[in-house]
Amino acid sequence: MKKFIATLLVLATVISLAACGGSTKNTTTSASPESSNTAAMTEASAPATLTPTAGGILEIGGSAILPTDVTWFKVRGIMEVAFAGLWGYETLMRYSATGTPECFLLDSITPDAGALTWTMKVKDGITFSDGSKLTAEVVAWNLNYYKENGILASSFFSNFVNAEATDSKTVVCHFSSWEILFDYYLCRTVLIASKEAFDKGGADGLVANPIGTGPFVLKNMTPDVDMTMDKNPSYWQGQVLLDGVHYTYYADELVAMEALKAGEITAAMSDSYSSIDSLMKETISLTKTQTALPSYAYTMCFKSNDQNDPCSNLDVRKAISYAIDTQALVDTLTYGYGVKTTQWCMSNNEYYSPDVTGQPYNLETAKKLLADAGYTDGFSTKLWYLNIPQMSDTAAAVAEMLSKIGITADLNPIDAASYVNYIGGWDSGILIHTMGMEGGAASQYATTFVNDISFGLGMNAFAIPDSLDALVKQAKSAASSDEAVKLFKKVAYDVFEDQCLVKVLYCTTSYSFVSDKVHDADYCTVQNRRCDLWKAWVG
Amino acid sequence: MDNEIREISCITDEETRLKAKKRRKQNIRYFFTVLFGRGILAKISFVLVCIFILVAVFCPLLTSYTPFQQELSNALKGASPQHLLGTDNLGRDLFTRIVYGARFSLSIGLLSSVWALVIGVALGLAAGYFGGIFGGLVMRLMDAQLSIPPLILALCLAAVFGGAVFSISLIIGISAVPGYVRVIYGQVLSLREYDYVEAARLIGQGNFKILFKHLLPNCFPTIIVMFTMGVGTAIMIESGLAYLGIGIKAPTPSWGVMIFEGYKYIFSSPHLALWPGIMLMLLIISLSVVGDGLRDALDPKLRGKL
Repeated sequence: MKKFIATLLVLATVISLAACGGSTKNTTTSASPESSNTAAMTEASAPATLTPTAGGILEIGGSAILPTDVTWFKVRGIMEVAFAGLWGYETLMRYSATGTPECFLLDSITPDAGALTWTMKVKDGITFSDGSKLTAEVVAWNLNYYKENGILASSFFSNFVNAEATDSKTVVCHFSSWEILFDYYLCRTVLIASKEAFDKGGADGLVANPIGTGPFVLKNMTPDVDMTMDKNPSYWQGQVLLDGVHYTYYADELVAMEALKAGEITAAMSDSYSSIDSLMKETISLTKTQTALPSYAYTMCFKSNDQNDPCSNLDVRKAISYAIDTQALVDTLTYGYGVKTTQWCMSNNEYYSPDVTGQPYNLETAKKLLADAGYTDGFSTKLWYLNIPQMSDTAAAVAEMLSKIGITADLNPIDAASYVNYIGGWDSGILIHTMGMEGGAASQYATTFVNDISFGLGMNAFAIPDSLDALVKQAKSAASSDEAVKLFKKVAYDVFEDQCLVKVLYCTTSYSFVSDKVHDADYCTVQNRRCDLWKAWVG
Repeated sequence: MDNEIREISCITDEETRLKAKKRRKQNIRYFFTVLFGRGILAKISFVLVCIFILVAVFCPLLTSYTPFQQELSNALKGASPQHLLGTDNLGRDLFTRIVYGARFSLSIGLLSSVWALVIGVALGLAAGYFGGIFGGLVMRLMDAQLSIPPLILALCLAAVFGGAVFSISLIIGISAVPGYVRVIYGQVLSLREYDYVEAARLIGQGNFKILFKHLLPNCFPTIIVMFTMGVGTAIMIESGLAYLGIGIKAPTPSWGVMIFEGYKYIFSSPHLALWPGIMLMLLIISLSVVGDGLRDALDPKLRGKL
């Protein structure tokens, strides 16, 4: 009898578990896991016979934590910007698939190095979700407000003096010294908010009720739970077909991906490579897209300004760089979905310098350089990194590679809460940092490798030669884009090759996965912050 | 007459010695009978605990790899003759990491139980023996600490003191102290009223001697049982902390860390989390069953009832 009851219980459990499984279907799409290029890779599109229909909600899910508030001028991180896009905020400019700034809310933007001005023409016919118009005056107000209050203003708007509307379409931005990268900065900063809404309710009013020019309007948001957006019926690019978008936060990436497989959500974005690999191998019908622009460059940063630290020796820094097998890191830590590069941009970017070889993996050269530096038997050092799984794995792999040339690396994970205190300067040794690449390589060089910055990576750790400092400043104030590109390529050579201040381990891109029920969703194709969902429809 | 008396006395001494010897034998037999009296499960558990201890001690002899040795080109591979349980996401041999994990887990379990035992027994003895304001103060402090769940307390302390083996074991030990204090305090409260304690006091023995020569040995059965059970609990807390990313840090091959690291591969390479999970489960269950057996075997109140 006991055995019978036990058998019954086991059967009941098995049946219950089977019933709980997702209703995944084996249909059309197959994935190509070898895609580690920078072009957007999209598979499985909507059948041509279907006609777009209005209505329906796009259910997005993910493990990206929702911001605690919606303060538009404090938005800085990649995912915060992505969320701000859903709340209805747009930027004056956006990146193309190769990372070049393109006008978005503007018709044109023209630099004038001699006059220290950037002149922009605002597009006609753009209205905010509250019905007010986007005019030159509104754009100028947004730029000036960001200069005063923007979270990244000290880095990117340091030379910006003010903006003035000279007529209903024209805004002239004045600078104290020339800033050739201003168009890059506009791609990642200054979310355009309604001045009329600000005048009525102040900053608090806009935080409570975001008003932008985007295709959606934030209805409600509960941090750690979800947020709901309604469509903006008067969107300037055309009719928004969806009724709205609903984002569900999942504390666990695996749960989010399982929810996608089970059909609970219809779109998800991920930069966790185990999840990406798992979904790429899935046979369920999904549109799988790799963002054209990279998200992060996992970078080793050397403490080079302390004479007592072995990393202050150029030969040691180069030896360490030669000892790292970056291809193995890409193949293992990113399953081949990451990208190998030697600098903070990809080979299709205009700022990419082919002269930077980034010390290709060569243990013999590494050992020789280490011996030349007087460390024949190696030495002990510290490896600092943010305590997240991808970083821990990277640090462990790097430590093992360094052990092959006799360097013992003591692993020091840093908790997220205190990480920001470390990026300016760390105790000793090496910091592995994820350098955001969404802002463009030049803007990162310009705000990192100068001696007079007040905040930023390596501020108290990099030994920046005066020549490099001068070169960066010269590049920043180049009269033309062509000259800036040429000079920033020299900067890249100095940083990665000549001085070896940092070493890029690998770059990551994000992947988006959209159900076959959703069509025409330009979801994170260029970068994960950019979701052109206004054309999307469900059917 | 004298010779007769001496003879009888010798016979009595001999009988007493024999009886004592017999009683000792009976006690030992009783101890093992009760210890293993819970059936095959108790026997298997005892053997498993012994195996885990042997594995922890002799782990370098059981594998040709080190737990940190990576072969990136061999990552996430299944079982093979070279890698008995496969490899993890960095190409490290899973069997090696599990074997070394036993060393880390048992070390932390034992070390934290020693901390808890030393601090808890000392405080419990002193509080129970001296009583009064001191005893009350100690017990109220323990009550206060007991109001915080051990894992939460360990979580907070670990966030402050870091994830080194020493600090983690101390933190887990501190979180287990109230259990020892309360039990020892209760025992000492009753033991101190016994005549032999009064007699020791009357012949002028000091408090220190009474505490450690008379009271402590009488608490040993309880202490042994608590210690055995505490090791399992400590290992579980350590694994919990490691899983939450607060305890021992990667790449140290603690089983909790391995489960945490393997979790994200649960669908693609389930063996990464499964094997350390199974080992953890086996060790904790075994320690618990052995602890239960020890309690039954050492508890004089249960003698003859089992």
